Amino acid sequence: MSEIICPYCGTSNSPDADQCRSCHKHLFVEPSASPTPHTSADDDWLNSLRGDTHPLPDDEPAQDESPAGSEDEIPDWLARIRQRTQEDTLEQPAGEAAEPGEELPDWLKEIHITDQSQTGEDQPADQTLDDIPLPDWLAASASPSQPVEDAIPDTLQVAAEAQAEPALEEGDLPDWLSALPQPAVEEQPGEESALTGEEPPDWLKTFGSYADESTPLEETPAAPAGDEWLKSFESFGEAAQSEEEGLPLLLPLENDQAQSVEMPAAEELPSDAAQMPVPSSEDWLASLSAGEQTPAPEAEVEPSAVSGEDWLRSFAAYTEEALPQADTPVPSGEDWFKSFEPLPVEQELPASAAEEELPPFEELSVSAEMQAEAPPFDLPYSQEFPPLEEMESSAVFRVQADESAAPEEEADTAPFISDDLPDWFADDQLLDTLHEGEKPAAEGETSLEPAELPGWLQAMRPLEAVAPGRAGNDADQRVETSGPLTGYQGVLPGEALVTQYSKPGIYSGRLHVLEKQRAYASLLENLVAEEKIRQPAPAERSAAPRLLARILVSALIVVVVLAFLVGGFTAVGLPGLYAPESVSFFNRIQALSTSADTTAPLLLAVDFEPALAGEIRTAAAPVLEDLLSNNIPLVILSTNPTGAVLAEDLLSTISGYNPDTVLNIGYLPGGSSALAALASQPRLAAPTDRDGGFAWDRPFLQGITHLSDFSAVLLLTDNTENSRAWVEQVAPVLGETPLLVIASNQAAPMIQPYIQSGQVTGMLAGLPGFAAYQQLSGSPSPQAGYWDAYQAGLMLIVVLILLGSLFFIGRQFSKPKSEKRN
Amino acid sequence: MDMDFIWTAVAFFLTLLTLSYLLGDNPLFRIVTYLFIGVSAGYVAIVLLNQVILPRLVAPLIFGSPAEKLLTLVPTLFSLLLLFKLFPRLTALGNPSMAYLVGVGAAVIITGAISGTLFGQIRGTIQPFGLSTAPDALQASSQLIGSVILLVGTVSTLIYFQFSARRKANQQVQRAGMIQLVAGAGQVFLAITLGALYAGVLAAALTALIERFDFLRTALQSMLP
Repeated sequence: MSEIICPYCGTSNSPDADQCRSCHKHLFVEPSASPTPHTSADDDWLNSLRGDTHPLPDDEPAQDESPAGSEDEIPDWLARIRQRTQEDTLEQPAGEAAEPGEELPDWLKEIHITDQSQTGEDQPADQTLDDIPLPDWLAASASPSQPVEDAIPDTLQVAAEAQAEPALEEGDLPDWLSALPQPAVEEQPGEESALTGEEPPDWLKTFGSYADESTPLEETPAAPAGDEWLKSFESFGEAAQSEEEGLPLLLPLENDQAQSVEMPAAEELPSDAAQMPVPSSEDWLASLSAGEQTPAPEAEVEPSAVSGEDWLRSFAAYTEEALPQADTPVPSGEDWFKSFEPLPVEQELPASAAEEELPPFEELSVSAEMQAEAPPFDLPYSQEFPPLEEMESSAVFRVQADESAAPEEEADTAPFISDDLPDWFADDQLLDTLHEGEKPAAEGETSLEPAELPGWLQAMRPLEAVAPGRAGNDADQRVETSGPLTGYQGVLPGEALVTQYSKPGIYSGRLHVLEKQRAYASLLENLVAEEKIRQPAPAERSAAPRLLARILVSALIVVVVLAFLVGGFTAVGLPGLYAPESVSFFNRIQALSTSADTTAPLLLAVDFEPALAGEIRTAAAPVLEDLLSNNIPLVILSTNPTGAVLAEDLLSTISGYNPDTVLNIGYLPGGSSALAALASQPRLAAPTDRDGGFAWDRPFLQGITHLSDFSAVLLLTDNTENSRAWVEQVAPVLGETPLLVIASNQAAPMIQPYIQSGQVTGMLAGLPGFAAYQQLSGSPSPQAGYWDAYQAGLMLIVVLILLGSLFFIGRQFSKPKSEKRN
Repeated sequence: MDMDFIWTAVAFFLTLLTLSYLLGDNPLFRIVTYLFIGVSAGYVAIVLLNQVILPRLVAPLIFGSPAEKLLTLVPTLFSLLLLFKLFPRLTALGNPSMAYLVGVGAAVIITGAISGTLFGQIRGTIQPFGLSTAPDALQASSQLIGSVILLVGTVSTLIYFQFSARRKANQQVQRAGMIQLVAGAGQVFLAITLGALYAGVLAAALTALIERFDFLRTALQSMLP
């Protein structure tokens, strides 16, 4: 502590050094005499103070305001400060401050310097708090117009709650408080302060004089602890105890260092509230408290602790009240911080409050119990804090100042603002805040800047909050001179709007078109014109020619077929060449007919539709006749519901039909799956016959367990899919058993590949197959006219197709080219 | 009156009504068509009830052995579930039956197609090249020619259905030259096949017409005194 910090380079120097050992600049600079905010040269108010203060000789005891016993612990610089203070108080009016504090933050130093310079210029003592460039939170708190409910920080709430608790006792002081020189309470008389034997500074004198007027010195309690501010706290508490509602308020501020402030309520302070001690060693804060409070002439407050810094005295002078005589200096350089702790409020402090234990600062944190137990307290200056629950966490410390104590013209000045202020301090916003704080704020209006509001809160704001005030442009200064609105300002200029419009100018509608563009336009116009020309609708073709052609073709076919079928005409002879599949089919049938073992039945699969029954029946009749004539048993099976009855109808027309050798199993449902089941287990796949009886008990079926046990499988089909299903599902399990097919002409081309691959042994396809079989068997066909009619009909169809093709070819050539394009 | 005569007369009359379609669509033809559809549907329903449901589903449940009854419960359950397809709200209950039908049917068809058609047709295409079976050189040569034509027709037809092509700048998308050439040959074979099918359809229709005329003639002969 006994060192001098260079204001230029920050180097620590010995107390007796005049120049910095690092930058060789003078450590002590005379305080600026300019009334304007201080400059960078005189920022260090401590240096200026020390410049005025010569080091004391070692043998000279430091003039100490503290009680005896603490001199050994008081640093020499503080002793010099106190000495100078005493000297200044004799020379200067109250309100001057020249006591800096060591180890103070820079911003606070600047404030001190400014304050010091101002006080050195005999600045008016009634300067308001708004003149002080405070931090934003404190500046906002200094706004007299802002409600205190919105400005109390949480820490103050906590302090208020803590204040409700009993005061700390002497023995429970924190370490840092205990380390301070403590005056002997017992040794100090209660009627006098610790400085009774010394020359008090001016502000102490004024305070004391005020105390003399209102409160007898006999009532001033002695400081219970070894620190003056604690004594003042105690005395203040006792003084407040004499009042009905006086109660010290402990308002710890949440800062780097634990701070607490105790502020008296203005209206409830004793009449000599101006004499209340300002325990802080920081003048600016003291001035804050004093500048905002209304002097209460009836306050009975005993000053107990006063900082050793003179700027605090300026605050006291500003309050136009005398400082108590019982002012005692605080030897610590952090007095300003301590000064926040004991300030009386309306609440009554118990008599033993000073003796009660002061909880550590850590215990001053917010707790539910403390909040519940915290009685309502009042801020000084007739501003009562709301309940703690209603306080905003971001509220700033705002105190409503008395308008009489803070004139507006004085609030316009900001003497502490200089170029060296930090950015946050020199910000225009801060200045605006300061100025706004001077104005009486509307009820409910907060000091928060709009930009600081959270998004959700901004979204909840009503439209009036976003765009308050009246609608209209303030720049419109016109005043209505006529009509019923005469004298009004900002009336909508209807007449001006009418007169400002005029007839539009005449513009030429002529286009500047190039020749190329004109050609394109004409081409497009021609195209559109052609489309507009109504084309003659093509004449609706009459149905008569089509019907006539249809009747003509039908008549030709009918006549030709009947002529060859009924008339007995012979166009062509029977075929002399036979298809290989027809020959193979005939050979297999002949092999079955001539076989010695005729007991093996033949599986006849009937899978054709009634529409093509004539073709199938014609082709299958001679084959079935040969089989039945040779007593080959037949097992009829159909995958078509109508197949069974068609088969019976077919067999009924064949001579030699014996029902005992024929078993009609009937319909086999399931399609391909049924065929697969039949191929694997025919007895299970088709257990019953068409009548519902057990099918496999017939004599010719006794040895039949697989499809390969049949002599042959004859498929009558007119459908490609059915024939392919038979080939795919049944043919693989047949082995040596032949698969013969009598197919319609329309299905024969698709079965031909299976014949080529050997999966189908033989096939008769339609009338050609029938004719081939008849030719191969050498039996005259009773339906010989079929072949002639068939050949004649086919020739007629070929002719018609050729004629039709030639007609359309000729018609195509005879058409003009325009019709050909269409 | 003989029943055969009656039914022959009915058949004769219905045949004439059907042939009236040669003059165009007319109510007589429609009457025959509706009659045919109704009779066919009724007949199919009777056949299914008489030949499938009663002997294969109801009879085992009533008269069958316990094992048969137990086995018959499976198709009975699936059949009952299939009936829920008639109700839109409960159609999901028939899904198991449909799943069984589709799954089994697809499996059977695919298996048969692979073993019966795919392998069989490949063998049928390769087998003609076995000239050792030919009795003489002439037949061997003719068999070889036929085999080559068969092979070319099969390959070219399969290539015709190859529609992969490359896109070239400022050109129409088309297949490669060789592929295009072979595909053209396959298109010829396809045209021949379709022509054969069309000719078969004409031949089948003509045969049916001839058979109906022969029936009319026979019926007239039988009805006329």
